[in-house]
Amino acid sequence: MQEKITDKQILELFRKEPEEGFRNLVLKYQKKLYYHIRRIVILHEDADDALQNSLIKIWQNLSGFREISSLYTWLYRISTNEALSIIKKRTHASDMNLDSLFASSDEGASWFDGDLAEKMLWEAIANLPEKQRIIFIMKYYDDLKYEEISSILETSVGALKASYHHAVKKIEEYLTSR
Amino acid sequence: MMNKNINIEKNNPFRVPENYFDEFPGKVARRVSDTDGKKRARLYSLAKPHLMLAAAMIGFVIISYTGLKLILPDRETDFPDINLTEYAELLLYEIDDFFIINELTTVENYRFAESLDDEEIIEYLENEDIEYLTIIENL
Repeated sequence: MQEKITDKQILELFRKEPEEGFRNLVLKYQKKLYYHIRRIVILHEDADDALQNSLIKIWQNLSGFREISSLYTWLYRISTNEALSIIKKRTHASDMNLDSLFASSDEGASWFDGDLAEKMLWEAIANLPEKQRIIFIMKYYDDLKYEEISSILETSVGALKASYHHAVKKIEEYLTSR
Repeated sequence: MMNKNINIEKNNPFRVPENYFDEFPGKVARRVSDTDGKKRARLYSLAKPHLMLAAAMIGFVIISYTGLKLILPDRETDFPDINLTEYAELLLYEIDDFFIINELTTVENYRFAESLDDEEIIEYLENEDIEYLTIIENL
């Protein structure tokens, strides 16, 4: 039921009954936002923190949401920024190396369910520069259009296309060199 | 997207703890109410010193006024009780055109007005609606 409720209905419900409107928003978007964040931060505990922080910010600012962009774009922007904040708090650049990342966390590699090929792919993605990695994830995994990514990241469509193209090249080079 | 030699499916390799998404809305709701409660407490703690200062000042004023009222005796004024309307009427009747002319032509006031000639004085009095005849009679 929550998946079928429209963004407009969520906003109308929020104006009348804020807690109920917010609950419906969480139910509709929690998985999408979680996996979007998780692909950026990799670790579950970090994704959980970033998702909670994102939703607190959304709760605090939803009454002022002007609908200049779509609700979905706005949620994505907040959650992307929270994911990047988590990454910035990591002390070393090598923290994006999957093995060292899993080694440094309590959860270890147990929450990563992929086979060797998928692990290599994610290592290749983790080695991309930050913005390029996010653009690749949003285009390849989240299936967003360039125009939507442009609205979220406030970057031109042309720059996004170039960035995505370079990301693909680097990933292919990484995988073929292994 | 990928080179045809690289066959990696677009799977989701990230496992999630059991019941995570079932429990997550409740967890967020608790954090939201904690955050709102802390925000109210923070606003109160920021305003508290100012509120206390304002209350102290008001208290000081009240105590000072009460204290002064108790300490100082009631004093009688030197002036009799007078009705303001009566006073205004008194002024209007007492200060008439004759009084003005008289005041202007006394020695002290003459010295003050010695730079003015008669024509200027008359012109002034006329401008103040004092009758010409009255001026002539009193010169």
